[in-house]
Amino acid sequence: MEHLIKARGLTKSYDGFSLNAIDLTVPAGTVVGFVGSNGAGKTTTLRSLLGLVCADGGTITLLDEVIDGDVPVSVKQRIGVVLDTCAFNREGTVRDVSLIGRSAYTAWDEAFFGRLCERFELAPKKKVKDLSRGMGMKLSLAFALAHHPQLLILDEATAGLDPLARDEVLDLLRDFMKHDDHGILMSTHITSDLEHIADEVICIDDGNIMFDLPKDVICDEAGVAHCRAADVERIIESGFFEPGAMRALSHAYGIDVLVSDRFAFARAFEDIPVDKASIEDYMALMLKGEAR
Amino acid sequence: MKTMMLTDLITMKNSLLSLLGIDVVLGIFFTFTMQTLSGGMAAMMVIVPFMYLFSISAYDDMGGWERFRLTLPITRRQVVWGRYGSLAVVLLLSMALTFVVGHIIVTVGDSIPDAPSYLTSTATGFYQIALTVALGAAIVLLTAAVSLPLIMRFGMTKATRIVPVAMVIILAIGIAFFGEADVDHLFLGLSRSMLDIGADTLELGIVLAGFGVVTLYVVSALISSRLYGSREF
Repeated sequence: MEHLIKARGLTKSYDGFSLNAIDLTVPAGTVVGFVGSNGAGKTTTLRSLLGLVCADGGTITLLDEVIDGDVPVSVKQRIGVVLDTCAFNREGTVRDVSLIGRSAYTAWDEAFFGRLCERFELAPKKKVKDLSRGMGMKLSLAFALAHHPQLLILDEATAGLDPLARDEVLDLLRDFMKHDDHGILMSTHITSDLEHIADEVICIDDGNIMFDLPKDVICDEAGVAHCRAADVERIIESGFFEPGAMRALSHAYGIDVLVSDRFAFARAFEDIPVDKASIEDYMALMLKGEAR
Repeated sequence: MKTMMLTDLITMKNSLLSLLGIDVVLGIFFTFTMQTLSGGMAAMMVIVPFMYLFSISAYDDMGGWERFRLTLPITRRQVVWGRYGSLAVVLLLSMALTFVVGHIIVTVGDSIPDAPSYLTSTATGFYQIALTVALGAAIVLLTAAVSLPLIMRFGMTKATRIVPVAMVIILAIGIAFFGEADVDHLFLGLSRSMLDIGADTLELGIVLAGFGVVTLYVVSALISSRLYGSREF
């Protein structure tokens, strides 16, 4: 199987918002980070993929099945989902969550769920209402993993977790990715998590895909040049960027310019300092930067 | 459907156990305060299914459960039929419990010489208890048949505003219709047909009414299935 998720020309319109022909692919063996500001369309995209909302147009293929309306049960059996809140009944216990998993998934692995709960210090008798947000998200993740899915769809799964717990979760996701045919689509605002685990990063803004790049292109090749106003003029005049292709963001101490190849830039402009770009830098400059 | 029913019953497991206890206490309390076993049993019959219906619907709205549930390997159709099924299971449980408790009270009443008459089989026999149970079940099914499509379409939060209005409208339409129609003639005709085939009028009336209510419940499930299919989460 080449692609676990393949969406082409996905459109969905609400009052005042629309997804505009989104293309999104999650190849097997890949962790795809899905980033964007609040209201950019991440959740609508994920909900369209999961059949929670009906897309107005486009095609969706999940695990080699073309989705037309509801996601077939056979496909759902192979997908693990974590949404942005712990959705289980607050009056229920961790054991009740396990019972739900057992009744829903044919491949539910009770022992594995138990081990995950033990690792996350989730006692079977613990009530969901007594769990912190972070613990609730861990429970959701344990539930999503315990039927050995092939594809994980995570919506803000690490939100609310402290740094140590986030590392723990990322370790778990790395273990999950040891199988070549597995894949993860992970929507998050914590872009540093993606720097640790993602292979590809897709950024959405106002219903449009702004970039879809391998993480290494962003974090290893791209850079942020810290310029003065005169430097910016010099860069533009040099023709280093195609007209309109340069992204610059002014701040109190100067102007940051996004460069796609920081090594080439450093050779061309030895006097202008250029740092590695983080996903957050790249995203900020792409979304807020002025095109010049 | 089985998964959805189990999910519902697991979700309500703890609440149901405490509800059943409260139910028996309330049934006995109403029996003594109203001085009628039928009244107490009627209350006992409807409390648990009603509380189940509205509690399980309220849980759907909490913490995004309803949305998350659709990511589990169940279809929307199975969600709807599972909900109707789980309510039916709770209803049957409540019917059995009411019937058993009613008979225990009557048996105990008969064995105590100075027991109040309303606690004895002379005042409340097998048929009275059975009728009370059947009538209570019919009321629950009718209420569910009206409210569940609205809950499935709009969610419990919005439906709490719509269900009472719908009930009032249906009641008004019912009164207007039955006020105008020659109901006596209709039922007499039906009864006569039944007598023609040698059946007891009362029993057949109950069977007919039961059949009608169950049919309405199934039709309601079909409508809910259609409404839930187009809902977005």
